[in-house]
Amino acid sequence: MFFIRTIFIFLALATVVVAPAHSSPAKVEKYVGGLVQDTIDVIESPRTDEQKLELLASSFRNTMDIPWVGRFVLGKHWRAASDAQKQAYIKYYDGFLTNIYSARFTEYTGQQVDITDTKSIGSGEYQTKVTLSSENIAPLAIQYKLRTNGSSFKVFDIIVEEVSLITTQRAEFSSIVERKGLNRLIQLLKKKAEQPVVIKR
Amino acid sequence: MIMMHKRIIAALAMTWLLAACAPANQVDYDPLESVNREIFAFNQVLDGYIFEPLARGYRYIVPEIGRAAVGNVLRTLVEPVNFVNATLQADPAGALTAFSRFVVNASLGVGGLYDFAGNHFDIQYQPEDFGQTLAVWGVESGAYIVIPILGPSNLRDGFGRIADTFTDPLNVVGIFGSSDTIDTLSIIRSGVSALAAREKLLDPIDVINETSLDPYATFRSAYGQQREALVENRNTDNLF
Repeated sequence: MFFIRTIFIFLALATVVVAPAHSSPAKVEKYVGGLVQDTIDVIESPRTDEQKLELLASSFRNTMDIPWVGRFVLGKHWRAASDAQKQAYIKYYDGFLTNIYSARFTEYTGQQVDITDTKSIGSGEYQTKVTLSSENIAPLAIQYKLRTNGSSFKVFDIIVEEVSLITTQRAEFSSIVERKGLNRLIQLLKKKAEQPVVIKR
Repeated sequence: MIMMHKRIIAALAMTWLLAACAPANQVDYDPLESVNREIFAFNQVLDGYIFEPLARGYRYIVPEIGRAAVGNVLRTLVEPVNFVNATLQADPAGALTAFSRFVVNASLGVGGLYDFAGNHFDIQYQPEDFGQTLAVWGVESGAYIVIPILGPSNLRDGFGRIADTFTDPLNVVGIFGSSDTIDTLSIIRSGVSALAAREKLLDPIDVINETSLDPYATFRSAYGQQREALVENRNTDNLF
């Protein structure tokens, strides 16, 4: 009995000692804070627009779990696709999504950034809120959902005003594939991916 | 009066019937898609020529502080509707929120121009409409519909919009003593509401039109997600 109780106490203590090394909301917040600062540093640096876009695109690809998101938003049509279609789809989806968000990042104009409401949503997944605010303009809150990826994290959803990127795109892509076929979707993605990115000021 | 009651009952019955035909997964239930797409295309053209330019003009001429004041007045006018629906949903906290906001903002907020309740007492705006009330009562959303000019909706929420006119303060006053002044105020309020709403949507709609591969499907999905968030009282600025 004494032996069993000792083992139990040891395991309980081990959990307390080991737990901080696992992912936690604090680690997520630190990771997101670092990303935000790196992004702002690039935007505010004395580089050309093309150089900034390239760096932001690279950062976006490292942060966003594009292969997973791409498979998710295609839904059941992914399983029915051929290997060639899957390869083309992921290639152009990557370009399409990266172009959208790289351009969006350049719209940052010095707003105050606050990272709040970071919490676990189960199974190594977390949610956090990044709020951009400035005087006389209504604040913009963006929620990010992330999951643990080794010792780091990957974003798998972006939510603005309760509208989720992956839910919306899944509905959109499903509509296109069911009406016009997967090849048409791939064509549309290719067209968007190859369009030059326009920086808005 | 009897004809009015019969029409309301018929509309309610139709709503329940069509909602009952909906599949268990309500998201993007769109049996009228071909018609909806035609109306959506019509609305896009109308928007491009009329509503969007007006909204951009409004944004250009009226500074943010002025637009915020207009928005605050419009929200204050809707608080009685929010109060009635929160009560019907057996949501005493929501009812108290609407009541408090109305009283505080109408008085300390100088006729609703300033959101005193939100900025000083942290009593934030919580929109409640009859469509949400029906959802709380268990009515499914039914078929997605696109209303000419007004945009995305569904059968339940479309019926809800009609029902809300019976609790709108201006309409209630109009029932007891219709006058040209009340009618004029009602028209002005509707016009200003539409303009303010379109201005708020300028940036999100620009993004959708630039990035979406199927704007119709994007709006449909976004509408459904926002309405679900409102029914669950998750804070949203209610793009629609």
